[in-house]
Amino acid sequence: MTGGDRRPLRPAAQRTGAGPIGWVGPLLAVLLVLAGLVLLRDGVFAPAGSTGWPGGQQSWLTTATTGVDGLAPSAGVVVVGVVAALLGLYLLVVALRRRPRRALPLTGGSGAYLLASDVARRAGAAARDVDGVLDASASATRSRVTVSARTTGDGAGVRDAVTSAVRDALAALERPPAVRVRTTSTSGSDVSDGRGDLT
Amino acid sequence: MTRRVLGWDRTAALLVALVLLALGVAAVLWGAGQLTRLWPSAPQQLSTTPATDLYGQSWWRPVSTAAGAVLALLGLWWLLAHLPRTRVGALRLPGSGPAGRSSLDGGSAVAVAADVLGEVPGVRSATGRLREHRGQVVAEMSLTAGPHADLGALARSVEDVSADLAQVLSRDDVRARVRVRVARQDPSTSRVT
Repeated sequence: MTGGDRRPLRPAAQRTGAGPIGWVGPLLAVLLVLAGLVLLRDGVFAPAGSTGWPGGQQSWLTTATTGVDGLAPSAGVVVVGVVAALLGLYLLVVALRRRPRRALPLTGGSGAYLLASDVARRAGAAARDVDGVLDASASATRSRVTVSARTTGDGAGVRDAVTSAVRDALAALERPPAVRVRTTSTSGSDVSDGRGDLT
Repeated sequence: MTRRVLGWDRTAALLVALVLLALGVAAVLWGAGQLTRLWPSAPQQLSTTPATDLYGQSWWRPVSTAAGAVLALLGLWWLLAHLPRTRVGALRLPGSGPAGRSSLDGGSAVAVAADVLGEVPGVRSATGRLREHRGQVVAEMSLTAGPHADLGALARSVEDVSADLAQVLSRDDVRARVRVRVARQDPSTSRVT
C-alpha cells in the first residue's frame, strides 16, 4: 500500500491478569443474591397474624440468630474472631491491590506483546541453537529469564555464548528481562551463573 | 468486564473487608474478656432477643419481602454485569453525513490483516477480531510464531500490517493489541514431509 501517512494503530491498554478480584467480585454478587432470597423467603412465608408458620416451617433468620443466643465469651469465639479478621485482611488486600501486569511488549509500539511463558520458549530455543548445548530449558518472569542448559563441557565459554544468544533473541522486547544461565556439563555438575544486565 | 463493574467489585470487597475486620477484632476482644476496657457496659452474654422481637413486628413481613426482592435483583444484575460484552458493530467511516453514510465491518478487516500476518516468515498461524475492551475498540490479533522466530523482524511486520489496517479502518480511535505466542516445537520436528 502507498501513501505518506503510514502509521500503525495505536497500542491498546496493556493486557492485565484479573487477579483474585476477578472471582471475589462475582462471589460477593452471588452472596448478595442469596441474602436477598433468604429475606424474600422469610417475608413471603411469614405467618400473617397468629396462624403460625405453614407446614412446621421456621423463619431462617430466627433459626440463625437463636443459634448464637446466650453465647458467652470463650476460646471458640476468639478463634472465630481471628478467622473473620484474617478473611477481612485478605479481602482488604484483594480490594486494593493492582491487577497483575503480565505482558512484555515488543519494540515499535504496535501493541504486540509476549507473555512470560512465550519468552521462555523463545529463550530455550535460542539456547539450544548454541554449539556445545545438548539440551536447554528456560523459565521466565517479566523481569528475568532463567535458562538451564546441559552442555558437553567448557561450562564458562558455553555459558557466555548462551547468555549472549538469549539476549540477542530477546533484544526486540521493549524491556528485555535479565538473563541468567545455569549450565550443567555432562562430565560433572559444573553449575555456574551468569547474570545479564537490562540492556 | 468494564472498569465500572470492577469498581463495584472493589468497593463491595472493601466494605465486606472492613465489616469482617471490625467484627473479627470485636469477637477476639469479647472472647478474651477484654472488650470491657473499650466498652465498659459490654454484655457478658449474647442475646438475640432484640432481633427476634424485630422479626415479630407487623411491618417486618412486607419490608423483608421488598428488601429481599431488591437485594436479589441487585445481586443478579451485578452478577450479570460481569459477563463480557465485547461485540463491536459496524464501524462508521469518516465522511458519513446526512447525505449518506459509509460503514465497515471492522471485524473482517482485522481478520484479513491477521491472514496477512499469517503469511509472514516464521509465523505459523494468526487470527484477528475486533472487540471492545475497557471502553476502547481494539483490533485484537493473535499469532503463533516458531520458537526460532526473529522477534525484531516480527515486530516490524506487525507494524507494517497495523499501518495497512489503520488505513483501511481510517479511524483514529481503534487500538491494536497483538498477542505473540511462541510454539513449543520446530516445524521440522512436528511436520512430516
